[in-house]
Amino acid sequence: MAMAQTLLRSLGRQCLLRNQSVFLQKSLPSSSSAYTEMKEFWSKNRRLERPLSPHLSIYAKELTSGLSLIHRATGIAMAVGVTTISITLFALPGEFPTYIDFVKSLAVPAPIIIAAKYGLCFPVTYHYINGIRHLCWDWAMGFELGRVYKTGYFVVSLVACVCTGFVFGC
Amino acid sequence: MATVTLLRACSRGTHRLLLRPLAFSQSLPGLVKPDITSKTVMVTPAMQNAVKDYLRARRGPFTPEEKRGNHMMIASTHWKVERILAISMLGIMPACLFVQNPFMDMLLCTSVFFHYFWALDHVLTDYLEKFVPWIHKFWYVMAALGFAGLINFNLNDVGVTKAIQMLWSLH
Repeated sequence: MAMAQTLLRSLGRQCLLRNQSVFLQKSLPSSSSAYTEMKEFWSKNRRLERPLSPHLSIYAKELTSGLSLIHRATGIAMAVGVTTISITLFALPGEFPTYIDFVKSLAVPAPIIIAAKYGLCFPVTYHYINGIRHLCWDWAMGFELGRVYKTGYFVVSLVACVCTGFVFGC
Repeated sequence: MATVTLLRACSRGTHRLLLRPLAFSQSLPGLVKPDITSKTVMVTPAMQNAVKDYLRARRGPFTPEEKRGNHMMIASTHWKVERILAISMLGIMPACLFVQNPFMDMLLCTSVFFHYFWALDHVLTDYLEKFVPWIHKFWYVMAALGFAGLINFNLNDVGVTKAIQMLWSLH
């Protein structure tokens, strides 16, 4: 009993559940000085009608922000795509092989199949390879501007190679 | 980062683009494209103000309570769990190229599901929460249905890894 109590207490204080209000020792302050400062900053910005920075629409396009944008876009596309396909297959009565046989019976020309394979392969490959880059940044590795560009170009070329390998090789 | 700035730019309204570009391009010659005046879109002042007010009303700093939200874990723990999942996916996904069985189906589905479930939730927090606060609940329902579909596919159909293999064998 005592051991279970100790275990629960340590779990509550230090581990995964420490944000649960049951385990909080004392109530947290309802506002911080950081929040007050931010609030002042926002109201000043509104009063003076300041534009927000950076002013993206007048900036020249850069590789770095473009790759970051594609990373998010592919991620969103895949999340929405997987959910849609999964729910559709859930709702449809047939089994998966029947749909594959149906597509086979259509005798789709090879260029369209290749284009479709590129379309399916690119988001996964890009998100995977560029994701490694993002994980490195999460550990504060490779933040020097020159290296960011080098790894960026490396990712683009590697994705092109791997994607082509998947489409034609497998 | 880029998407955040893009959405900020969209929500700011276009009138500043019409008024300010010359001053900007003179002060920042290296960064600014010279031909931006030709790319601006004409919007009537009434439309501008309506959009501006709508976006303004919901922006601003979130209180510490709003930021913390009602979650099981504190944000930093959640972040760590998500990174651990992402790193393990670097191994799981290539493994699925070589091994296709029901266990790999479940492993792939669960890891991929939680990765995109949390990630899209953060995306919604970044861009849509301040305009449509109920969007999270909608996503939870859709994601749960999608996960049920994935599990059903693994149990009662060919399974995800096998399905991808069959799809890829089309010529």
